[in-house]
Amino acid sequence: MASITRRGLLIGGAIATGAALTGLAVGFGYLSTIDVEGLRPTPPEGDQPVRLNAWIEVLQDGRVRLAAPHTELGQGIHTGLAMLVAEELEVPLERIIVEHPVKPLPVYANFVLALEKRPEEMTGAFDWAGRRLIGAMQLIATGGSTATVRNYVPLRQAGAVARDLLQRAGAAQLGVAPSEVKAEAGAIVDPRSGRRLDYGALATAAALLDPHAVPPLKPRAQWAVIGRDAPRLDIPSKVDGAARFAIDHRLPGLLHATVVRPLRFDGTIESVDAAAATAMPGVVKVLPMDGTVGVIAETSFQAMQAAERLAIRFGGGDQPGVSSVKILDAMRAAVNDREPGHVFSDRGDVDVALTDDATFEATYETPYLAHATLEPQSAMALVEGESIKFWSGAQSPMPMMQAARAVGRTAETHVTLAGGGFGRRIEGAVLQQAARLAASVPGRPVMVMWRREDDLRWGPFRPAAVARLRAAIGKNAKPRALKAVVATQSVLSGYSSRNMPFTVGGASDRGNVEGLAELSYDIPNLLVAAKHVDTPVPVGFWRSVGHSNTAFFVESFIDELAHRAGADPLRYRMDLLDKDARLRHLCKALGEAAQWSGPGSGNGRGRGVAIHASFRSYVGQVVDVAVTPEKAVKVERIVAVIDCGQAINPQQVRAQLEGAIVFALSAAMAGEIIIENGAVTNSNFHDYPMAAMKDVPAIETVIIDSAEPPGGVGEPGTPPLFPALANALFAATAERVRTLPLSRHGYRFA
Amino acid sequence: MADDPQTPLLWVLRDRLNLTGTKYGCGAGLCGACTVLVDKTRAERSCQLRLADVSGADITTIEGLAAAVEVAAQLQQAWIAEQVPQCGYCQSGMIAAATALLIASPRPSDGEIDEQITNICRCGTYPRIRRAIHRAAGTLAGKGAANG
Repeated sequence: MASITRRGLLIGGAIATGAALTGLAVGFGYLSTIDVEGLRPTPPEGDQPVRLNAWIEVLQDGRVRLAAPHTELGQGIHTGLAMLVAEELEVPLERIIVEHPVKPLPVYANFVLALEKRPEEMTGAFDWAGRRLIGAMQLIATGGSTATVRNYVPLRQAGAVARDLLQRAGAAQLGVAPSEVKAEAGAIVDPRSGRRLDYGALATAAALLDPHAVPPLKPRAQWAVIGRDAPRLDIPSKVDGAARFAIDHRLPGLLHATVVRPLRFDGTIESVDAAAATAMPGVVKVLPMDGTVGVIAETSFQAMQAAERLAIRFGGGDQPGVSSVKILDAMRAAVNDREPGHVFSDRGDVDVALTDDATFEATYETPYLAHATLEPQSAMALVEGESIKFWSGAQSPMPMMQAARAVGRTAETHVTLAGGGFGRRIEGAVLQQAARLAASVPGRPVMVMWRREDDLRWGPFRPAAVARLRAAIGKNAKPRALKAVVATQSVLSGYSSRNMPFTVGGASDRGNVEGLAELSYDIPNLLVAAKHVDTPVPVGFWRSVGHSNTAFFVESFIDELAHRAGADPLRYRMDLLDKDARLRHLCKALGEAAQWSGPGSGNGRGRGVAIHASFRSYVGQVVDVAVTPEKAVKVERIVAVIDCGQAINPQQVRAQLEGAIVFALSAAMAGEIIIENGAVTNSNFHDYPMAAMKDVPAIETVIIDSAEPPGGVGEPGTPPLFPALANALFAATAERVRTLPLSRHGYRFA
Repeated sequence: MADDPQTPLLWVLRDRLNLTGTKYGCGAGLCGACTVLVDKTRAERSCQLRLADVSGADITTIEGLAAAVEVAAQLQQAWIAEQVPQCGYCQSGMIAAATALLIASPRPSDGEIDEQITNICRCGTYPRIRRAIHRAAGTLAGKGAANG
């Protein structure tokens, strides 16, 4: 039952990419030179900021600059990481400046994403080598809701080690023993004399000391920062227009570009007549690239207008008739055929149980979905000699490095604020285009921005999926066996084909069934299998990835079983969670927070519940709806409970829950990328609509108090909303929706 | 101004005047990321205004909004107090739209907010935006009462 995980992909990809391009001889001797701790100071130079370790720099005025190798996509991660440092460094949060580092040091690599373990769990020889290998490959990335998990211990350690240096330097200057001074609000203080020395004045001396072993971290009871609501450091700049996203960067001589591509996924560009376009005012260059045509002009609007005037003869199209309808037909056929598929979970004997007992089965379907980040795909690039500089809100600098190599140059990577990410910005296409276009006008910076229509049509998309679930009902109306077969299109296959030197995934991609294969419910006989339906449609990572599909399948199905059993849907779930104390407790807390008293008695009003574990966290939601006979839906109330272990910044955990819920609400109601004749028919927000102010109720959030190590919070709020909403609609109308979006069944927001 | 009079105001602001706080989101008047305040009263989507349309008009972008309109300054404070923005990309347009709302209706109901704030926030900050508008309206009403 070997399966491919993101971990396998990333390690494999790193090895293949790194080994192929740098010819590394990966041996013990080499690996032992890779610094994955980053705790040593750099000798100070003049009045430059003093680098106490790879993470922390002290400025002369006492402010601290934190190198945060994670992209601020809106999830508040820069503030959360600063809080971890502030706690141990004893510096006020508002004196920390957070920047994504330009230099891709090995210590910044996302070991958690690659090795699928917490840093504190990485102990053996494999982990020792794995960390150094991942570090050597500079696998810096933001995704999989891992940034807090990745940094929870290491950044506090970095803060503690830096504080210890400052404390020793301060004690020496004050002429007392280090144990006699304390660190307090950005200064070293001698409590007896009352004398204090600011970090800014001590940093140079501190950086000349040797770091000792990592001091013990503060116990939770002494925390003054972690676990308390903190205002985000980036928010003031996001209310007055000062925040700079990729498209807001300006350099002297800046040119603007956009890109044209065949509408059909299998299309090609046969020829380009650029005469009309190049004659337009401001147009600098038309550049045919691999499968696309770039247009460079003085302004964005000129580039967009010129793109409309290109006379392009498109070719290809040898896979006529690819459509989302036919793809779903193929997925339906796949879940019904006799091929076993790739088996991920197989316990007990499902087939015997399904023969013996009363059975129930249902088939669920989900559509392709777009990320629709409000800032479209964008990047600025500047070629100067052998170097190429990038500015982009990318979820990783790695695609910048790859794009630079493709034009024979070395990258300087500037990861900017991003106008939304949701998994979309882990892809490199716009960076490759920026590199090609900038290389055609050396010395001139080029800003590439896709038009909204292109951003929506070109994908990659969250894959469609069909799932057939069959249960054998045992005594107490509980499921004794569950057989689940999911047919979908592997995200890893899509991602690796575009971004790696090889393609892996297919049916064995664990993402196909994540959230289903590791089902928490206590069902003695379980079989979970996946089938990969290959299509020309590009698919990629979309907020919560496979969980966005599997939560809808499982939590709709459990709701159906509860209804058939005549049981309360929340109670029914709790009775299946004897072996999962955390989820059981979550259900209890959810029931209390929502004042749960059942799904209601119908007549156009109903309540739905769903729970789901993903990204090391647990989320439960209760949704109340009112539905008119004309199927106008008013979502009246949403209650969400999360157990994410230790919450770092609770108000931002709430913000992520709220955002993840609204993200799913848009998708559940009307989110559907429609493909006809090999191309996407949606074009803009009128036919790929978003939930608006009027559609979103107050969202009540509860964070379960926990001292467990933190889980992710960016994604886990998204999966449960789909089934909770569908279950609420069933309670209100007795119509069981098994196919998303709801708009397919005539529902719309009131 | 060298631009064609048919050029949308959005691109004149961004690419000629380097007022980059006003954002491109859809180019079709659907998302509101490009919303600016016109004649200190109306919220307009600048991707739908041609340069020729705004000849002689008073255009206020997010960069100058707080200095030009007291309501906007209060909204910005309320936005910070309620910790509204996530990615922040839509928020210039949101604040411009909310400014026009409060100018027209100093104590808006939830229904008015639903009706007048039609911009898209992909991060889903709507519940916090609603709270921030009410907060700013409350603060302004308190000031009005104190001054009156």
